[in-house]
Amino acid sequence: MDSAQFVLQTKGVNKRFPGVHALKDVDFNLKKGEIHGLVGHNGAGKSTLVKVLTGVYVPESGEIFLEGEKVCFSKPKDAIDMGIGIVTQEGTLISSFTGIQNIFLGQEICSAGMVNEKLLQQKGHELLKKTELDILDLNIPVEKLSPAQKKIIEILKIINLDPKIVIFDESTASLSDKERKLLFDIMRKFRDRGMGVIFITHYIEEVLNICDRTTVMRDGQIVGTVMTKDVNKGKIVRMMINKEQKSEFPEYDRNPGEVLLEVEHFSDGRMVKDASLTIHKGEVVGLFGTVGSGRTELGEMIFGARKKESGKLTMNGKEIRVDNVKKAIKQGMALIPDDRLNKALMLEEPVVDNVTLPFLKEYTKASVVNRKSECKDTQKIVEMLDIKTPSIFTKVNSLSGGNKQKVSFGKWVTGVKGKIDFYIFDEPTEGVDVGACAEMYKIIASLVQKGAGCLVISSDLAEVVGLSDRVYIMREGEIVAQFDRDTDDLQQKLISTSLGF
Amino acid sequence: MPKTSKNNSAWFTKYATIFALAVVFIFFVFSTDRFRFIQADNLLNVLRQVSILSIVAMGMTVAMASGQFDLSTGPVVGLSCVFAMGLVTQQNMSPLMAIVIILLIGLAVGALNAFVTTSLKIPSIIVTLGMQSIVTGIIYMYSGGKSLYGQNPALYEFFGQKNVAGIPILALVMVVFVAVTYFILNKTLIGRYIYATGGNEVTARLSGISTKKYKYFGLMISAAFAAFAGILLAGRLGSGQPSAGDSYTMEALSAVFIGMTTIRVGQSNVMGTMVGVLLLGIVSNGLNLLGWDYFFQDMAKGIIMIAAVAFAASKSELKF
Repeated sequence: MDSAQFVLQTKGVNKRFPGVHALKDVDFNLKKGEIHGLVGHNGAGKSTLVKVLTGVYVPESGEIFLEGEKVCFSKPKDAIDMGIGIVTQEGTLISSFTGIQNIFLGQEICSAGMVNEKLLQQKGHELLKKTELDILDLNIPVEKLSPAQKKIIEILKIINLDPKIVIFDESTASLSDKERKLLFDIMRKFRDRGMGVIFITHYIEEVLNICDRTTVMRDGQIVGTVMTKDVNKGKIVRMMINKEQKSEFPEYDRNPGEVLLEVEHFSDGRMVKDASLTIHKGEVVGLFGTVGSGRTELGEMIFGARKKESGKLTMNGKEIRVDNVKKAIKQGMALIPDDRLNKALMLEEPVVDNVTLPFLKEYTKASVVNRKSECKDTQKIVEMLDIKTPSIFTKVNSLSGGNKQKVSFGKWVTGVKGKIDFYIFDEPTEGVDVGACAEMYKIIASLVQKGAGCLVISSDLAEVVGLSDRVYIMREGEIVAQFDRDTDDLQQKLISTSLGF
Repeated sequence: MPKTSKNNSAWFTKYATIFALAVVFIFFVFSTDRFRFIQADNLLNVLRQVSILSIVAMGMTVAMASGQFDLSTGPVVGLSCVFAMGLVTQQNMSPLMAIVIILLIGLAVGALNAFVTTSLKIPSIIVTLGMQSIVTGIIYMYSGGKSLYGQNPALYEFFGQKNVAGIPILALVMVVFVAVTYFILNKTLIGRYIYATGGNEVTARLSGISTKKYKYFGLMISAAFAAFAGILLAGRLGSGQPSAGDSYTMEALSAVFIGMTTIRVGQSNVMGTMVGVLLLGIVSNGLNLLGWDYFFQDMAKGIIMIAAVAFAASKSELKF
């Protein structure tokens, strides 16, 4: 194809984070006057690619061409100056500022050192007219606007910069059907004016509905770019799935025992609406769903770390009340949270202080900590889990991602102190390299072989399929389906059910 | 080897503040007239000057370790100083009774700070700022803005002015407070849970720790220590001065921040705070001997605090 028709092109872009190869030789192109869908499951690399295109990340290698000319973005402003605008999922508006103030932030027009309010008002309303958008009050703080109206302000902000490319990153997530249609209209207008539009979304229907071409990503690579009119949902979903089963999952005799834990009708009135599930002794149960489906929240509710409005919890046939973490631990539960940096670790503290925190009391006599026995056990745990650290007194912050995660595991899984029968693992291998992943899986397998029950919350499809005896699917706060390990086309069913078709 | 040199530089960064303390000390030894600075009576004087501040700073260290600011300590010192004298001379209480009541008031102020912080979820820096003003108001309401004089009770005088074997009792009390605080923070379950709460509250909560309890602990210890320091101050001054506590909030806070640059970098810690207290105390005393005006002393103390923190931050040992 003639490269002149591309407004944007990347060649061989690579980006690594500690333990993860987030983008592998990505060749992506965008034509003038097209809406280009970008899909892939969580962690496929879409966000990383977008961040490279908008100057948030600088890639290690590879080239970016804008209208055929090589460009280098070292900071977000570079990309903005070159005409790349993005409408993000969370939004980048200052909520106490008015629409006008937000639209022209950093682009204010001044006369005699003062902001020329009148001119800005005029320009703001011109923008509204130009885009044929609904009349909108641009003079009230944006926090008073609806999500869709906020999106419009963001779009106006971008239009003001007269971009060549607009990226919509999960922009439809919080919108109603009507608002989505409005957004699609805007996207079509942009296309008709010759701009390049990149649309990132979880909703495959939207892609089929509006995109001219679609690129599917998986594991940091581009699987393929297709003309959208030539494909259907099934084809796209199949592209999203990794056919090769990773061989790193430990083989063992799977025979779950009697019921360990029953969760009935859990609800917090917001993120979790009605969730029930059962876990047997010696069983790994997967909980699969997109980010925001309420899976993390459900895990925290079971563990007593989040208030619930209603629901019944039964363990070993007895109803138990777990309304705080202390009680949960006493009942023999453990939660190894996602987002280890913010939830699982004290980064400024040494390995030993982190590892012994949940059961520190067992190292005390008259409230005085026996540092010696604490250190001895920690040394043992470091060896058991093969945590690579210069010493047990090293600050956790300086360890690699995989080893940080091992410290987070080490707090609970070794059985050196405390007795745990039920584990909740939330994204146990997020941002962890392949070798360390295999070790985590081995640990989980060894726990269930000893009779513990494990709930593994994950958005990594291969992981859920490889580890679980059964998988529950969560969508919009509800458990919507469950599948057995030996279900045919399990991966495909998981994806389509979790996305809602 | 490059690795060693990196370790050496990390080591130097960790102890730079203590090194600076030594340099300042030596500087004053040689710069003051006829080694005035290092004379026994002057060193005892420094000890006397820093002991009350160090008790306030110990409380502040505990509060900061639990992740809470306490800006109300200075006025609590002042309130306690005024009450210590007033309850005895005006309400005819026994000194012992007065001490008990004052300590209870201190604990109550701390508990109130903690209640508003934890239950209404307002940052402690705001709550205690408000409390600073409230307590100051109470001081002036009680004293009418006047200093309270009277016979200094023997009990107060003992703690505030007497010596044992040539060493001020005040300094001995300071040693006890420092030792106890060190023990609690570094050797006990409570101390570890306090640091966990301040280090990462979510992590602490998910590890089964009642973080609320340790925020209460931090803020109540801080206020109680300040109240005790106020009683000592009354004994030392022999009177109740409404404005006597004013400088303690900022001085103690400075000492804690200086302390965060050393020993346990990035966290408030007892030994670090003592380094801070001594640095501030020595600079104050030394400059005084050199004949500098008090306002230059204030400026010097401010510069030292910012310089220490900036140095540690520039080596990225300390993050904000």
